[in-house]
Amino acid sequence: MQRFFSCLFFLMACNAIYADGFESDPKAVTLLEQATHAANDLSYSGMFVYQHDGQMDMMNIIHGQVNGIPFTKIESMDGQRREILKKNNKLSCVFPDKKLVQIEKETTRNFFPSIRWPNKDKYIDNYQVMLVGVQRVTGRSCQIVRLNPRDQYRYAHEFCLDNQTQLLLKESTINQSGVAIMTVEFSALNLGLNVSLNNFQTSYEHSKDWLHQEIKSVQVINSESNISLNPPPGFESLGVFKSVGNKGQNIEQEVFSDGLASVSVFIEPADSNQATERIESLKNTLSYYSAEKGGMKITVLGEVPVDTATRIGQSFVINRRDQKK
Amino acid sequence: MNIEQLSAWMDGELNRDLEEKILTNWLVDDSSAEVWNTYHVIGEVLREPDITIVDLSSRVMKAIELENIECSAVPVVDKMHSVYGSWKFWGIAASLLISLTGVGFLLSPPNPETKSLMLAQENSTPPVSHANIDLPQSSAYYVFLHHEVSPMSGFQTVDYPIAQ
Repeated sequence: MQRFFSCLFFLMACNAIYADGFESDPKAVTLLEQATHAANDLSYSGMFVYQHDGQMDMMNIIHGQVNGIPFTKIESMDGQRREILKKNNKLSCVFPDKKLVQIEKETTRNFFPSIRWPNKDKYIDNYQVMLVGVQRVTGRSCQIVRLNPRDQYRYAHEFCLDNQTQLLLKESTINQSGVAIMTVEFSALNLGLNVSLNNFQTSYEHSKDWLHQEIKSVQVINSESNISLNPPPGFESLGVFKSVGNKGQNIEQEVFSDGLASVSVFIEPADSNQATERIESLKNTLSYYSAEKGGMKITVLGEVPVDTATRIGQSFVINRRDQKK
Repeated sequence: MNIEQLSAWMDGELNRDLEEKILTNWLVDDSSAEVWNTYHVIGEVLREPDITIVDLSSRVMKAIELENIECSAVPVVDKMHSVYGSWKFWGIAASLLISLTGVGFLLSPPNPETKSLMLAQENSTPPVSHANIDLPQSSAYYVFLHHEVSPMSGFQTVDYPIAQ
């Protein structure tokens, strides 16, 4: 009997450890879910700073709901002039220097501080979620939620959420060396302002006479991919998408995600003899890998460490039916 | 007296006409005969197998040290002129020009009159996630597609499709 209870206790302990590895803080998980609603429901305006790769860019933002519809307007204060106008899922990007307006009628893009937080089940096995302290951002006290990766295949993230409203005030992506490789944070913030449609009009009156380009979403094919890949543990396929490249070539794009980070794998016919792999750490926390094998070109791109992108790319195998073609 | 001519005569390489000239000169100038004798002694000594190693290096070095060296202005070769004048330079320049022209054609922007485009048919520089991003041309297109589809991409960065 003693032996039975000892084994039972041992199995329960193992299960507890295995289920969570390092246990996540439920309060931290709840805060992140609340941040999703805060960014959408609140009205606010301010300036935020985007720091990456040794440079800083400032943006002006105003967000609010008009007749129950969420509106956002973001203007760049540095570099090339650009203006983002978002009404629900319709996105207009105004480029005054190019006299160009790009329109996406059904965008899936999110811009800081808006987040579309995934279901806990999708990422809890890959990250330990915990509260790590309190910080002040733009004069407001906020709680720091840290997502620690459970292995070396992903980055860590820190989110500073306003204590009062749970609005995301600051976000950092941190590499394996503990260095923040990207940070976005408010430098000035006004909450609770009254907004109207006038706040979300373009600042460029003559943009209606400029060239308007409609960008349609990539076509989802949801079919089996012609290639096999072996992504690291925790990365699941979100589907296969199809598009046409700038040279008219068919491109298959399979997207993998661990709930937080995503990796796209592009497959297309090879048009050159690239004998060597190309591995790069790009800006905006992106890692890049490309190579050619069996007449096909594979490109891997994602917000993951370079080793992760390389591992996915090197696991590329063409399925037999594709070779017969 | 021309020492080079004497040496050539010893080696049997002198023109017949010059031989008579040298002999005529001997009748007037004895120094030619002395040089002639010296050259023959040197030759026989060098050809003598029993003679042990004669170290002349120290005497030669001393003589070099004592020698008065006269420096005269040597015209500097116009290297740039010689480069511009070389076929190699023009070949490299032509290759570079052809390469740049080819790249320029490949990167030419689309017809600006196009009103409605499929995402994949946008043949200009593909939209990138940031104005200053340093990506290869084709990589920028992949970045755009990635951000279009990936759930967290847009959130993590201040992401704007930027036309170029």
